[in-house]
Amino acid sequence: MKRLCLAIMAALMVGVLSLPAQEKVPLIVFGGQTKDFGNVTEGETLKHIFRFANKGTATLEIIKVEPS
Amino acid sequence: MLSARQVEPGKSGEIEVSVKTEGVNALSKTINVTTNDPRQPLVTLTVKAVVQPEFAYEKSIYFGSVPKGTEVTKEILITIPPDKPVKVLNAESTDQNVTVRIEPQPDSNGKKVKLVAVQKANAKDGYHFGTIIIKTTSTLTPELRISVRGMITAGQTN
Repeated sequence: MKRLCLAIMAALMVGVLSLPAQEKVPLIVFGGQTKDFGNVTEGETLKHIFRFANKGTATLEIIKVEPS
Repeated sequence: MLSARQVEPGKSGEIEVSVKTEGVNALSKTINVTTNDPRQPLVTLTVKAVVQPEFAYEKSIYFGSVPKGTEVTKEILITIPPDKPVKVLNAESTDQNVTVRIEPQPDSNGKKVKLVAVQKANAKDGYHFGTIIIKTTSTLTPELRISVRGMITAGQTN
């Protein structure tokens, strides 16, 4: 019985050690990705702030912000 | 405008977007955000709006080709949305052959104004052109511009 327990524990240890280390990745989450201003008057300058968070485990890098 | 290029886990950031609405009716702009997030390497943000002019009006007047000695009158209706607290003040023409006046429309509370442009009977022969400049109380659109043009041909001789 003792041997069986030791064998099970050994197997569990091997299993845990053989698990791949969890990769750290960033995760970008925006509060909203679309802003609809509705009806506006010509000549107005529209401004909006898109807020985002990094919900991941690594540093998030914003490589480029480009209007199209 | 981006608040920070690098955002640590648990932290947040901002992207400020500024869009001009001049010369467009319907506005739809997209902003592509490239990140190192393997699940979302490209995020598209969208800004939309329906753009309404403060003053709705025809942007040009053509008096046509008429013989010298003929007075021609053209009218344009300038309409202001009811919720816009702006008014038309006055108008003047840079074309010496054209006179212009403003006639507020009855029962419109200043929201409809008729612009009357007259090509003078004594206009000189040939092609003429210019601009009618309308002053308003609006800070967004302090001036409206209407192009005017016409052709005066040699008058009939007896």
